[in-house]
Amino acid sequence: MKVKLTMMWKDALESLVKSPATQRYPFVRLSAPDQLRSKLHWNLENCTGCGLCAKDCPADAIKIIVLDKKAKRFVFRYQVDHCTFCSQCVVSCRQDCLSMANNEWELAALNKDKFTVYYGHASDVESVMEDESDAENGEPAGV
Amino acid sequence: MTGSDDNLWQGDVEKLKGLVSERALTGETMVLNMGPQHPSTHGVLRLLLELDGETVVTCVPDIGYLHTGIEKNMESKRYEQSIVMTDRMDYLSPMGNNLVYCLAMEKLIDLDVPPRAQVIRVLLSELTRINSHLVWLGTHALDIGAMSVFLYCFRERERLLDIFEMVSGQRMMSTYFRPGGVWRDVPAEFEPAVRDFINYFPPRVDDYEKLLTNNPLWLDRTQGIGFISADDAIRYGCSGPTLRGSGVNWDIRKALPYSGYENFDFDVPLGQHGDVYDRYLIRIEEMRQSLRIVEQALDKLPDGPVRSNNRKYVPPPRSELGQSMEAVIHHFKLWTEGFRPPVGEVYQRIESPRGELGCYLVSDGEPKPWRVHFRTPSFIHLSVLPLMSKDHLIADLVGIIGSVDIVLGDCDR
Repeated sequence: MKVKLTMMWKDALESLVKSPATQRYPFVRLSAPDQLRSKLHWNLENCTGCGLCAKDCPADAIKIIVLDKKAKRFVFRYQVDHCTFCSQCVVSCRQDCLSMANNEWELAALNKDKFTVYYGHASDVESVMEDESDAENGEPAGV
Repeated sequence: MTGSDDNLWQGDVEKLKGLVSERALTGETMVLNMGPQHPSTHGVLRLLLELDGETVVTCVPDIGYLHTGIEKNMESKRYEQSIVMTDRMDYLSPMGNNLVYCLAMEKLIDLDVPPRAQVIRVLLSELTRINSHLVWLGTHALDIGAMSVFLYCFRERERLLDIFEMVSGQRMMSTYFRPGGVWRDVPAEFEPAVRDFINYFPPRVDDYEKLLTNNPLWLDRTQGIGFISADDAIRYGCSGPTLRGSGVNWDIRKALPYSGYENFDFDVPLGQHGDVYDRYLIRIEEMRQSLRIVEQALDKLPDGPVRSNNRKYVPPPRSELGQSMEAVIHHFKLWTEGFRPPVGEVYQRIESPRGELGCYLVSDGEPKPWRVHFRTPSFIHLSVLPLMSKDHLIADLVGIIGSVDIVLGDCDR
């Protein structure tokens, strides 16, 4: 019994003088390890629009919308809420244009719209978003 | 809620026939629903209890509240795509689930695994076992009333999760083991972190023992509770600490070694009485033995590749893609079509922290499996709950559920 109490007292006294084990998040933000798999990023420069990433994604989180293949007008639609962060797409991409950030892990949002991320040239993204909102409202694309 | 009074019993009494005794139908005993939202059922387990006062007469487990359809879903995905789903079955032992699925796949296609990957797999599987046992010990002690152990266990678990995060990029859903090896090599800071844990952890296990093993309250609540004989344990298909608690020397790591477990020196702790206390002692000792394996694995970690060189099943490294046309073709073929294993079926089993975890794979030669089935210890162990809890007090039932260490994600696939 004495041994037990000694161990508990030691722990309790140490804890009194030690700084807390927890961090004052969100005021203090710990850095994540380099290997962390968080939000996916896409680099348009190298992409050939082959669509392997979308095909291999186990969660159907990726869609490559091809506006003009010759002019390399692609829009990469990434659904963060579908993503399981397995990094299969990063492995599948032959051109090395996908990467997973290691510091964007605060992905919670109050609005569901924030979970759909579009990458690409601003004008292309705008036209794709317009088409998609039209399709949602039941209007034919391009109207 | 008695069976005889239809005004009180909301369900159909006829449906209870065969599940509970005749005494419940006449109203002599009480039928009580425990769970699925109950803090001590470790997930969403529902127990239909027939009580005579405070004594359990019948206990009928009811599952399905966490059914995810993972097995069925795997049939619509290519072999490699499904690894990500295995993490989510037994969420306390994701690496173990990865391992059994990868081993089954490797058996099906006869794929080699480099020695370094084998040792990394063993090392991480054992760390996962410690991680799982820590959660078990914390929650089990909390159920029985020892609050401080819970805090200590989760403090230690944090270090393990940091190691998993460092290696795989994720704390829980690691998806780290892949067919033919592991996803990528461990980083340089891995070895010091594990060495640090090896030095840090043994005194902590001693601390848990100081708090619980000879504690009169703990002994009262665990000794002689939830007894199961060796014969019954074998007959019901128990495995892992539940089987070894009854004194049966059966550990798949020793009996049917996989991933090179035959090269490691460790003991298999055995119980004598088959009660909650013996199962507790076994898991505590298993943590020490796992640490022994981790230390040996770290000492003998060989250099070399961590993924097989068989290009038919394993994608080429990125460095080859810019130089070899053949590598590009392999890469493209593997990620567009996947690989086609030969027609056949395999069964692979491993010793997960909870017991025998088996994976049954049936291939019809297509890139997607025809059938995937997991034999999970949690599901099997639920069937012994009625036997273990019979004639015990309802308060002891909580300790019994904790002692078989069920994870409902593992139970409902």
